Amino acid sequence: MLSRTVQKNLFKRSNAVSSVRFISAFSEIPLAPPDKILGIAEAYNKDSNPQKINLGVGAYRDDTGRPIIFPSVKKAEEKLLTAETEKEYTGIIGNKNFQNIIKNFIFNNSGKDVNGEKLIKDGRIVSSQTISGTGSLRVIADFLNRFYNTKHILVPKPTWANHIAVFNDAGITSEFYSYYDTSVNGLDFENLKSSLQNAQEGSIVLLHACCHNPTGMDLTAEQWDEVLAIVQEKSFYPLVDMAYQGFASGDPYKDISLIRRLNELVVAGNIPSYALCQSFAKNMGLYGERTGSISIVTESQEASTRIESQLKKLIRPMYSSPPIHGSKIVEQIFADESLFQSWLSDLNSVVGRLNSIRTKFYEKLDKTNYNWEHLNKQRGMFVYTGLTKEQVIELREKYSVYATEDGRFSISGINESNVDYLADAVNKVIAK
Amino acid sequence: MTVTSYYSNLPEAEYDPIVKIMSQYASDPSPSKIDLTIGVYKAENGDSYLFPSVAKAKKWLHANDPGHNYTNMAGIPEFTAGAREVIFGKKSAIQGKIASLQTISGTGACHMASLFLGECGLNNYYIGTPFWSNYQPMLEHAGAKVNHFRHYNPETREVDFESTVRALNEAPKDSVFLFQACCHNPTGADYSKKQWTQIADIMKERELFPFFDIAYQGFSSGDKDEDAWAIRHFYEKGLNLLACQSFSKNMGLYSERAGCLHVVVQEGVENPDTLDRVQGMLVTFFRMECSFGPAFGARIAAALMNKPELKEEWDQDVAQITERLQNLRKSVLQKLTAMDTPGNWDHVIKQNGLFWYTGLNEEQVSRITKQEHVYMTFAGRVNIASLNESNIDQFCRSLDKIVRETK
Repeated sequence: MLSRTVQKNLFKRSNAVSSVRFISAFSEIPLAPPDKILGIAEAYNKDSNPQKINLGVGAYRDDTGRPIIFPSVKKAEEKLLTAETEKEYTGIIGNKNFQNIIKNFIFNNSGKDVNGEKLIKDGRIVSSQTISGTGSLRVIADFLNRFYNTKHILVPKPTWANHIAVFNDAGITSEFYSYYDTSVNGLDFENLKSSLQNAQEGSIVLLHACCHNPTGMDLTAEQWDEVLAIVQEKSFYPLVDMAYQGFASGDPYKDISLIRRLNELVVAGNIPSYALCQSFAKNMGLYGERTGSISIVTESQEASTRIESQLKKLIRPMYSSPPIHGSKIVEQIFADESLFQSWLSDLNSVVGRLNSIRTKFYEKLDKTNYNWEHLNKQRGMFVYTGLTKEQVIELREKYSVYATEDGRFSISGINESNVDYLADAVNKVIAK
Repeated sequence: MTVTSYYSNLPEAEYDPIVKIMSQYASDPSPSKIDLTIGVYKAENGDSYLFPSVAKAKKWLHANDPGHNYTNMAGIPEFTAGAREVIFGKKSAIQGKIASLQTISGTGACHMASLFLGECGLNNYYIGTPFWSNYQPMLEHAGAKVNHFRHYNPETREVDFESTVRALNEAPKDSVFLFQACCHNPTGADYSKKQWTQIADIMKERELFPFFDIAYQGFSSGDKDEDAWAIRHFYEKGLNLLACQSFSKNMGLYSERAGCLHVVVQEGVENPDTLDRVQGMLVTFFRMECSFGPAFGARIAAALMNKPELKEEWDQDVAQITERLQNLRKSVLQKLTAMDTPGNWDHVIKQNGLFWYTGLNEEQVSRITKQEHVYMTFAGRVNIASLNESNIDQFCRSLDKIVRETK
């Protein structure tokens, strides 16, 4: 044994010279901060309390706390299983059919938006399939950094943490505009407008199309009009992120009034160009399949040709082409009217459960010393409770209720069997 | 600022030349046209090919549906562990020296690798010419400097080992050498074990960093272990290195984008903290580009790598494909020899993998395309897999004719 150890040490020493530089190269790498949401999941998994609740997850769970496969998605996969005979590459920006689905479904509102229809007909929309929402944000961030004249983005405070990380990493500086006032648990609309008015002209402005993440608080149609007036006045470049289409109203067509309004302004010549990032992660439950898109509404058909060629040039060295299992599911669903209708109804029932459990949770909360009215105004997968960091920690330590420290609850973690326990725990923490 | 100035300076980007050739092929009305351009394996009848093992894995996955939930940011654990074992072998895979990240196939792996090395301060690259056309833009995208040496000698039609050694000896310390572990694209000319051994020795001595791309593991010898010999040798030598792995070709999963990046951290055993930092940095970078790798392809690949009966079948699929490629190569050589085509054509059987770097010059390629309706890349690269019983005679006759015409 001894001789083996010596040999092992000798072997190590003989490598020491060449390894030194790389040891230091790797050692200089700082430890990346752990992802908060993953940290919560880990702590939750270790907790032995049978009544523990995980409110950190950003994915849908059914009333038994389990993830679901949309029945329409399962049917589409059954069709694929028999129809698919190869897996050869799709285009760098995905195939035409997928791109047309995005254009027609979202921009043309399936034939109900005259302005969107005109933009499509005039060749003014360039769409590319991407690696879900994150990938679409990354592609547009790199694209704008290369070609747009202002490398500065305005994002709502608060926003999804990865928005800032993606843009900063792509070389675009970010700045908050006011959005939500935690002291009153509501939209801070006056400051929202004034902070936009005071921001740098020509900036990129990030707008959440619906179900604002993390607050769940959206703008009304009238408020959007006021914001879009500032966008025009300040020549901002609108970048719309739409991760939860359908989760506000249960109807994907109703949730995209911002797109309708933007199309109208573009056709009228008041806004020259805007971009949309979207994904089917939430509204088809395709999370892990990474299915999304980036679309750029351009100034002309000729500009579209140039922009499309640059998108391909940008994406090719990053990942060559997108994964197709998820996009084929989307194509199957849109190709078959009855499957499409069952998807709409699947989505509607998912959102229905979230809304009914939201109401139930609200009903059970103690309102004597705390105003919970904001819960009824918020939409989507989250409740932005307004609880302080200390209260969130107390919930975790005393009651095994796991949420992010900004007080965001993922409603999909709440169900008939734990809503009483949860409301009770929150009431106790508030009452203190 | 005027509203029309948004992208006013935006030029139209040039397309990859291969796209041009493919569109020429598509519009050629000749019934006997032959397409030998794209790097995709074709079945004997010329059709696209679904691996029988993959077809079974798809059925199994459908019956045992794990759904579409978010996976892990570092990748699906069964996938990354299996992928590591395929490259490094069972023993090394679990030694605690390797950080792995599921990526958007091979391109995504190379892209993440160059971002990662940039973070480590390694930005000076060497690649042997000719090379896969995406390498240079990929490295430049990450802000790296790219130097060239000659990988292939068109006169000998073999690797240019002298040029390689010269570059290794002249490169400044901490330079990165991008090597293809087997089945070099586009030349099919690989280093011998003896040459790899010498390369490893120089790299260790001169403190250079090996960056391996392995896109065709198994297509050289038919045995995936054998084809990973170079990487395993460098690992055993105690070198830090990284390997970019794709299952596009050796599982035929092209559009599912199943790939993996592995970073070997030799001090990982003594210093698990360093390994954790490397792993953490990979995930952080990925979070800012993709968040998660796509699940479906990785699950198919994981099934093929981890389920014994599927693994055996996958091994056989790869061996059969390689055997067919080797037989086609032999057949080309026999036919050219029988016609007494001017020149030496031995390189068709010496080269490995999907591609044969014919050595036809630009004029010959242009003629064989225009006159004979045989399509290959401008550099004379032929996809061997696109040959079959119905077109191989015509291909060899066309080649013979053009070579004689231009002699």
